[in-house]
Amino acid sequence: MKKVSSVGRARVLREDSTDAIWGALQDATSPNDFLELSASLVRDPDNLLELPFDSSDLPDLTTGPDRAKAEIENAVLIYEALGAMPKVAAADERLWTYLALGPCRPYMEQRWPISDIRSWKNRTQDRWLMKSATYGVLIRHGISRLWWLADMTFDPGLTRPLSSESGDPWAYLKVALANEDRILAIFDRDAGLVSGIRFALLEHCYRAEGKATETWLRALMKEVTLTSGYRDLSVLDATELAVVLAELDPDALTSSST
Amino acid sequence: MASRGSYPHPVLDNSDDISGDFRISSALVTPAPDFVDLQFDVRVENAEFEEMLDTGAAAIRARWKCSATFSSGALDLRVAPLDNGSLRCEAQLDQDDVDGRTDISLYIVAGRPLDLDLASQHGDYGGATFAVARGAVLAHAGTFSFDARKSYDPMRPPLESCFRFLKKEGKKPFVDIDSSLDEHIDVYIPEAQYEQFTDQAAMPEVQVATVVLPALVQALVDCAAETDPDVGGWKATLRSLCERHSVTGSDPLVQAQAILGDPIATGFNRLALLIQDEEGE
Repeated sequence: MKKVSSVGRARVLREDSTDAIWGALQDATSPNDFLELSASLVRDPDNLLELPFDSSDLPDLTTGPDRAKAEIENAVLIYEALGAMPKVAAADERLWTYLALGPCRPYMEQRWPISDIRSWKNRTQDRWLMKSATYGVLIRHGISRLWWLADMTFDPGLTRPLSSESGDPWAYLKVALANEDRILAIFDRDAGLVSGIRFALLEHCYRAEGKATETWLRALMKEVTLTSGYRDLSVLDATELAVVLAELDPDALTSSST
Repeated sequence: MASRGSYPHPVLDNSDDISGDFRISSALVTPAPDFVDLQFDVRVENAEFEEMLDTGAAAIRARWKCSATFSSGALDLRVAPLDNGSLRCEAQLDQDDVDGRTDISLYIVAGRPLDLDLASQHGDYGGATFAVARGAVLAHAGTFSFDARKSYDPMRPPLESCFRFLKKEGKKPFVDIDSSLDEHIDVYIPEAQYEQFTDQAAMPEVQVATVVLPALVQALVDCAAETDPDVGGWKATLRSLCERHSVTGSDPLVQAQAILGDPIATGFNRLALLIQDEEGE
């Protein structure tokens, strides 16, 4: 596993600097053009503001052949460094743009490279920059997704079944990042915003083991979305949610219809 | 029956599934430093639903969602009956959890599994009984939104921190402002218009175009008269907003429109949408 170095205190870009970086992307004729210009903007201290709360030095983020393992470690590291920020601060596009182009750039260049792909501007927009935060954007950005996935799955009190059974407060994070399909399927949906439903879905994926394929998960989420349209699943406790998900499981629906 | 989203059982909403009414009125959103205070009245006009609420078979449920902060949840509602038959609902949202557009949706949900067989359900349902699970949506009063936009850094100060909107004492007409305080500007609104102003909390475009725009213009005029370059409070905020929108030195009316994001056009667009909705009904 290769370590990529990045140490420094977290800051955010000023708003006009964020705009300038978007302008640089539009004008750039090559990835190198963009990376050089954006690096000069991020290096200029006049373009930065200090975060209004304490944070540790930023960690070294890693990449390697076992992508899921590396991403789990990265998510924990970035979350522990930035801490449990207020949601409003963690939704600030200037923070994530700064981290991706500044301290975490070596990691970004390896995990989300833009030099060798034809649609490099699209990838830069999706994974490196952030214009305005919505949950779809936050869960795609290369750095923000690490913090948000950690925040939304962390169970420090070991109060939920998987973390309690394993004694691991990051048990649900590991289930989420074990398969990239789960991230968009669960976290880019309204149902995924509700913590009880989110934890229940991850637990259901974990218990499903090998059958939790992309197709299976897509079918399950379709049923969850349909059911959420006429039933407020957030009123249900963990036991009730487990029963509902078992009923909505594509395998259960298939067997009940035959 | 009117067609709309697909519920597997009849629902009390703006369709004719079930006779009666369930609606929100007088939504008031008051941002404070740590919390956003929410207050709205709810009217339930259906005896069977009132009974279900009284017995705990059903419960009022308000859910909030903020896309910008990846957050949603149920409001912890304090509900009290009013003399006019409505219910006054109050709740708070943590300012750390919301930013930008925040939606509040109000429902009545089943508190336990029910066999729903309502005398008030549409005749097309006949005497059908519907087995509904706990949490099933039985009534939907709709959704209102507010803009919780703010920022935590001094480079992007929130305009709303400059103003305090107050009910004007006495019978004198016209909105006026008191810009003599350092921290904020007090905007005094005649009593009748104050009630109308707060009633429009779900339509901030109307509040902005009718009250905030002229108040801001006057505040900018007062701010321009300040010669001290090192001011704080609302004057520093307005100067910063002018810089951010590149309108320092422009006429106050231009500055105000830039800061508020073209409020006149936005207000007219909102009115056009309202008229379109009414014509569509």
